[in-house]
Amino acid sequence: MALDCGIPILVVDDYQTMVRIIRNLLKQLGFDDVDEAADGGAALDKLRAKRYGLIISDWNMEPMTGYELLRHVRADEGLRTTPFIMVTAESKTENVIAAKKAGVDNYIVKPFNAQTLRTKIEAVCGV
Amino acid sequence: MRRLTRIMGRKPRGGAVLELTPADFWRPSAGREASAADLKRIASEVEAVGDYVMRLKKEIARLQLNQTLTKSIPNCRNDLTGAQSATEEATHTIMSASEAVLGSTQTDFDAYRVEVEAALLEIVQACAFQDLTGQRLARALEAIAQIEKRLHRFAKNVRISDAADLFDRAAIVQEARQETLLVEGPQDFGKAIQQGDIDKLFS
Repeated sequence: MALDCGIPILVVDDYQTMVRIIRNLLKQLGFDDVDEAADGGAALDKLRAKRYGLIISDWNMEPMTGYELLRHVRADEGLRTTPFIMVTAESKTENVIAAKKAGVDNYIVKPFNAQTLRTKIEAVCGV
Repeated sequence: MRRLTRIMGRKPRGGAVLELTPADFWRPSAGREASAADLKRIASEVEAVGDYVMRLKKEIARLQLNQTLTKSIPNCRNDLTGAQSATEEATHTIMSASEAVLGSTQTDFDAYRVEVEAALLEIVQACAFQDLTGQRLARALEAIAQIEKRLHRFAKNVRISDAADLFDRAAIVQEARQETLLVEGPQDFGKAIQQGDIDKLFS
């Protein structure tokens, strides 16, 4: 499946090391336009200022979680179609189901590798 | 009766010990004088309460609360903070060395090899953090096990039951947040849903 590596991606995680890991993996996959935010609130600000082709977000953040961010995004007319991948350590079935009901496009459990990330991005954004 | 007096004795401001007898516990509203059987029953009940209070005091002392609060818990916190810092520092070093290799623009093979070997050496050296972190975590685990053992003994010997309501405001807020937003963090080993099972839900 072909990937459009030119799409801008927003990575949302309060753990700087994880942002760095995802950024490096994305770079290896060919994505260069990558921005970051440390929680859901900061992410919303960025999403309203720039059009992103993909959101990759952690779940457990303060003060706004990734789950709340997902609900805000899906409720916002201008953002609701933005692909959203949850990358998280929250690995209970009820979390996955709740995220799916809230409109998440895919869900990755930490720890993960480059191949998993690539497969999920292809599934969500591939043409 | 000597024991009862010792347990229930009060030291008023004057400093003298106030001697109490079972008759002092008789309710005037009962409408009659206390019989010998009443007084015996009261003495027995008060002694039972006294025994419980004595046991409670002994068990509270065995909790070693001062030692726990001034030494065990602060040391445990220091060890966990140290382990967290060492992990972060090592991760940063490993990430930086890896990024240097991944971002290398070197075209000469021998020069590239020198760069890669230097980065790998940094990564190998950074992995020494695991030794220190392991020791810190082992010490913290030992402290937690000691505290857990004392609390177990206390709960068993005093026959504690949990209050139905939480009184700690921060704990109430945290619990509500966890329930509403499904925030729990990583699952215990073996309990987490696997990526393959998640993929089936999205297929």
